[in-house]
Amino acid sequence: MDVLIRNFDPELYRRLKARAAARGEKIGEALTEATEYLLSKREVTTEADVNNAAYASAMGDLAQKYPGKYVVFCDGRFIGPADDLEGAASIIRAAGRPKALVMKMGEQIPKGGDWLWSSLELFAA
Amino acid sequence: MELLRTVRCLGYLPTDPPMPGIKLEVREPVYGRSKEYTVPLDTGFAGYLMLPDSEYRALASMELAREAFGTYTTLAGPVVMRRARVMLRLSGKEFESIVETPIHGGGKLLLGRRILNTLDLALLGNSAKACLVGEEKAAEKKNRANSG
Repeated sequence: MDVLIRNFDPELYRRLKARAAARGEKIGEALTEATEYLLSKREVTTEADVNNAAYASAMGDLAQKYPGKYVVFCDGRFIGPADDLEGAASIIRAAGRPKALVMKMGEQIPKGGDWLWSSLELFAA
Repeated sequence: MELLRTVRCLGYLPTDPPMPGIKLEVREPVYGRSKEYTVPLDTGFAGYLMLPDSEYRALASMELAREAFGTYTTLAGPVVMRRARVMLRLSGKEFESIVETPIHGGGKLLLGRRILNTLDLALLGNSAKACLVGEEKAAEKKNRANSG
């Protein structure tokens, strides 16, 4: 198929065209190869990333299903609800994980606030 | 008039000038690892208990989701803090709370207003002591009434 691409970097285009010519390829083939490479690359993610992604997608359902309960996420999945913090700790221990994402459904945690002058320290110049 | 008595006092931390602090213990709930700190009191910090990054990592077995991380405004711009659930022990009482550390930067050891506002504290500046205060004991009240 034909594609019109706007705002492509002219320097990158020049280098791509030169490389394609040197290998006897057409621009479309070189772009296809580059795109395949880009899409095959695995994103480096941490367990915290996958736990947060899993929590974000399940949050709505969990809020309805487990109001007031603690929910635990390990290895990028929901592994169980608990009535209290000790219960959530037991779930994490049973899963053999050193840490987990734990949220209490419906809890309003203050977003933040100020951090004023009081924590500034004087250093000699 | 309400009379209060100091029940636990700690000398100010030896900084220049000296700084009030209190002792508390932080326990991570999963494996029970705990650490004791003498924490500077910071009424300018709107948060909970801030820990240096390395201490936070040792105790953050129950981290909150990123949507619940705190953002604090400073002179240098906003600072986002990771947060984890812990148990705090202070003056013989254990309660659930939150520890925080900046996502970027090393963090500090500070006790903010979210926890300070749950405590009854007296700062005795001239004697350089920070004290937890409690209500006058019934026996003390009776003695005072008798002597008065």
